[in-house]
Amino acid sequence: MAPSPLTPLSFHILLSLVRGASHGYGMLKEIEARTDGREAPSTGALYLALQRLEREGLIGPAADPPADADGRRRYWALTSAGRDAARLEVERMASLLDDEAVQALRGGGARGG
Amino acid sequence: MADPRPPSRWFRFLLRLQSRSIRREYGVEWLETAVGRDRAAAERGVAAWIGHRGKEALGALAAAVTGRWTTEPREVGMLGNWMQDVRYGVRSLRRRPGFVAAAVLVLGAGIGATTTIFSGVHAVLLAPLPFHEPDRLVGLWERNPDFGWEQEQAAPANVLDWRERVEAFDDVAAYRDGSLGGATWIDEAGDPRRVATVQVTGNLFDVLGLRPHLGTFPTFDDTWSTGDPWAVVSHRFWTESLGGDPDAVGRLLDLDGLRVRVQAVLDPGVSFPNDEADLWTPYYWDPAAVGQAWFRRAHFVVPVARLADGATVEQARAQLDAVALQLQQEHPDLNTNMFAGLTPLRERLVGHLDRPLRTLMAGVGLLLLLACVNVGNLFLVRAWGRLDELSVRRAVGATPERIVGQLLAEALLVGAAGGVVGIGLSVAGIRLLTALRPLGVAGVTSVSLDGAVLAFGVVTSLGAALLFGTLPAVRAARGAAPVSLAGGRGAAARRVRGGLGRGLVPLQTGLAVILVLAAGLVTRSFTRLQAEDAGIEPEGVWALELAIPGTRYANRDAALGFFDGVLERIEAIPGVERAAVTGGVPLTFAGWTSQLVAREWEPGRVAFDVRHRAATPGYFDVMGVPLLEGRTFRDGDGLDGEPVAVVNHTFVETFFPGEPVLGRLVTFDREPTENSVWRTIVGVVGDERQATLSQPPDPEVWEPFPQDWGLVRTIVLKRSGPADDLRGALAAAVAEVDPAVPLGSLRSMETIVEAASADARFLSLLFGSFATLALLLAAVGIYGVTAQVVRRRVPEFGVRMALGAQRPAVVRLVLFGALFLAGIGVLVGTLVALAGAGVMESLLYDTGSRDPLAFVTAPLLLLAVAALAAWWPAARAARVDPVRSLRAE
Repeated sequence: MAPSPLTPLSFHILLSLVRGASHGYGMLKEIEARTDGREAPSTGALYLALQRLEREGLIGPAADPPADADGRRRYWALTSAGRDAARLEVERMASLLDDEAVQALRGGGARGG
Repeated sequence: MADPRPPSRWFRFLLRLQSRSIRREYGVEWLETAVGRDRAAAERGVAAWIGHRGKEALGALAAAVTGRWTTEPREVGMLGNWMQDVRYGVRSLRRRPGFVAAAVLVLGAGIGATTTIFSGVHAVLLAPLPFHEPDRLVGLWERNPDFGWEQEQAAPANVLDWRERVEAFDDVAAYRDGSLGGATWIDEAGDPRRVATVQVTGNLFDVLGLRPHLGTFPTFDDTWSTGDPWAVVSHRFWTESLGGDPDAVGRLLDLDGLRVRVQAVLDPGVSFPNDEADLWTPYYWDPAAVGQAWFRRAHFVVPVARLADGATVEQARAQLDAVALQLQQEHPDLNTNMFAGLTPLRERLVGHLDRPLRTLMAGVGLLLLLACVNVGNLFLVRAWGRLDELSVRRAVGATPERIVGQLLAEALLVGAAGGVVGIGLSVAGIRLLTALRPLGVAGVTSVSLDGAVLAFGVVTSLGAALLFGTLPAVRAARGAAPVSLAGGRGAAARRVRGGLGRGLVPLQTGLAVILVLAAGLVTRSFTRLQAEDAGIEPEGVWALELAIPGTRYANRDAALGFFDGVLERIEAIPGVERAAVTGGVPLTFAGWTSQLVAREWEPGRVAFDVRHRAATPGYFDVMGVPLLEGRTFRDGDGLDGEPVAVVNHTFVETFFPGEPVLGRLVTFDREPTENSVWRTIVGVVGDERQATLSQPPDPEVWEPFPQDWGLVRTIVLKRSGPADDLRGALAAAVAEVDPAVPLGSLRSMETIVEAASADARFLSLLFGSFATLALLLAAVGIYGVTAQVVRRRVPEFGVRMALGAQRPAVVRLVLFGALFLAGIGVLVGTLVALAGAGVMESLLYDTGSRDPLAFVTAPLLLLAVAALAAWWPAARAARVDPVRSLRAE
């Protein structure tokens, strides 16, 4: 699966589902927390992305919503394809980290800081 | 910026923009999330909240656009991308300054015009009246089918009874409407000065719910002649004439010979019933008058009431109806068929402006729409030109959403710049509007660029940007497929068939034809009104008002002596041919009305609302009113001997059509007794327009000055040659007779006649500029699209010409193509205008809203403009070199 690199928003959505099912608002909060509020997709963008991810089979309705589930909300969970896609993306990123040019940049960043 | 609606309304709207599948699958949760985030954002402060809402709106819009119209993988970037888009947009726009300037100017003009008109609409129709709980204020009036009265002024005795008996009224006050009274104030230096006054009942200020800036307001009991005279003064009068004296309250003013105590000063900007008033003084009614017949017969006050707490307008209306019926029974002789009614105060004050202002707003809205379509057109044409660039971007990985986002960001930037220009223009426009005071705007409140107007301008510009930016962005995103890299030059452009651009041509010409039609109608109405004969020859005629202190010439002989002396001296001024005294000049609502009875009429027949004015013999000469029959006045008329009268043409037509009128006797007593004064009609003169140019003349009776000297304040004179320092000469002439009489206004009759058609002139000017702009925009639009079509069809033309087509045939092809599109727009626009023409009626004088001339010329004009705009590109098409165009392909 995952023929192309994931877009940042898709990747963030998948990441926020790694530790369990969540609803849209929950994912938003997690994305904001993970990026210190730098990334906060609009509601419109979020649901458009969720629709696409669902259609591509990367996420699906959660089989067992959390105990404190809000009846009005829909809970999503990663499918196995989604988990694979997220892992592939992580590996792709990690492999980049070994690249010499990336290393050089990161080093420069460290010196600057 | 505060949105009074619950957040869910706003987000429901944003949700509605989304594609149907999103709404169906995620609608409920979408809303929950959006509202939840909105609340959280609101807790972080107003700035964060506004930023959040803006971002949500943009995000929802972008999601809607990509979700609905693109088939590729769907995703909208995060906010970071938006900032990038904006930066990219700025860079991209910088490369095309000409395009940007055109778009910004077109939009700015549209937004400026719309915001300016909206400021007037807002001030007059939407902003609350500047009074306490204005919804509880109602204007009262009397109605009498016998006299044909609708919403007339009321008799004071009836008003006093309403005040006592209608429980749904908290209180009722009254004021004198119409032209303001003028009083003479002898200032501290001893100089006489004229001030604008309004007579009121003492409780008016409390009824309106005003607060005094200084002092305390009088009460209803202060209305009578038994109390000490007082005056409430405007803030303007206080600062300009009393030097802003903090101890002004209690000061005594020498006003019309009375010692008047300053009782209170109003807040700045507060006035009633219009902003020209300086002083409010009591009616000084004699308490003994309350029981007298005239107090119920003379209808000369305008009542205004405040509803009691909890009382509804309907309750008040029902009670007032009942009281009016009681009064009919109690005073059968004076109140026959006299009914009463009420309307909300705003409607009473500005209700007549409702339709005209709404029509103006619709007109200017059309103009803005046209501007948006036009700029959209510019964007579209530009997007065609950029398709190859965009395709390259797609090929190197930009998603269609990114391209939509970038183009939208460009549109928003242009929209914002247009908004800045537009709001700047509207500042100037609002100044102009305030200075011109068209349609009596600024009667109650002043027009200003306040928060509401500013918000309107901002929302309008952003709305406009989205309107013109979205469609081209979508078209461009669809057209710019990466595939075009392989397709050679112009391959992408061919994929967009130009349907949208061509569709915009009819839309633009349709909108333009509506505006041109509207302009044609008001211009025709204006020329008709201007051609209307005021019944006078105003050239060289001047009207001078004198502010004679009320008690100064209390008897006839003193008054006659004064005016005789003044006229004699004025006629001695070089260049002055003749001077006369009159009760008022035409086109100023001058004069009074009374009931009239003719000697020969069967008993009980009465003519109502007959105008009467007094004049000295020279008046008709000076004013150029023709004598039609008999004679005008002579010296000595009315002094002793038989009372005489001159009537106007309409009087004869109305009461004695086809009958001889000279020698008939008339009286102003409704029930003539042996003491009644019967006046013999000795002459018939031409009609003057007494009130306005658009109002037909009323029947009028002229009396010789000595018979009705009490109400006379105006001197008219005819002067040949230049008018320099006429005022100084007049002042000297008057001062020679009585230095204590100040001059009031001095106006030329030509100015007065011109002012009478000022509103029509303003409308014609306004719609004329809308129409000019509309024609210009339509021409630019047609040119742009045709030029683009020609550019795209160059290879085709090359083939045609290579196969033997003549150049004129190519020109015709292009020209007819453009004219066909414009023709569709003109046809549809004309039909729409024909259907909706009724709204124009309130703005027109003696012109049908479906005036054939306008409906023939406007479409022809537009077609001519379309042909002109298409000519240039068509000629270029004919210059195509077949060989070169084919080789390029």
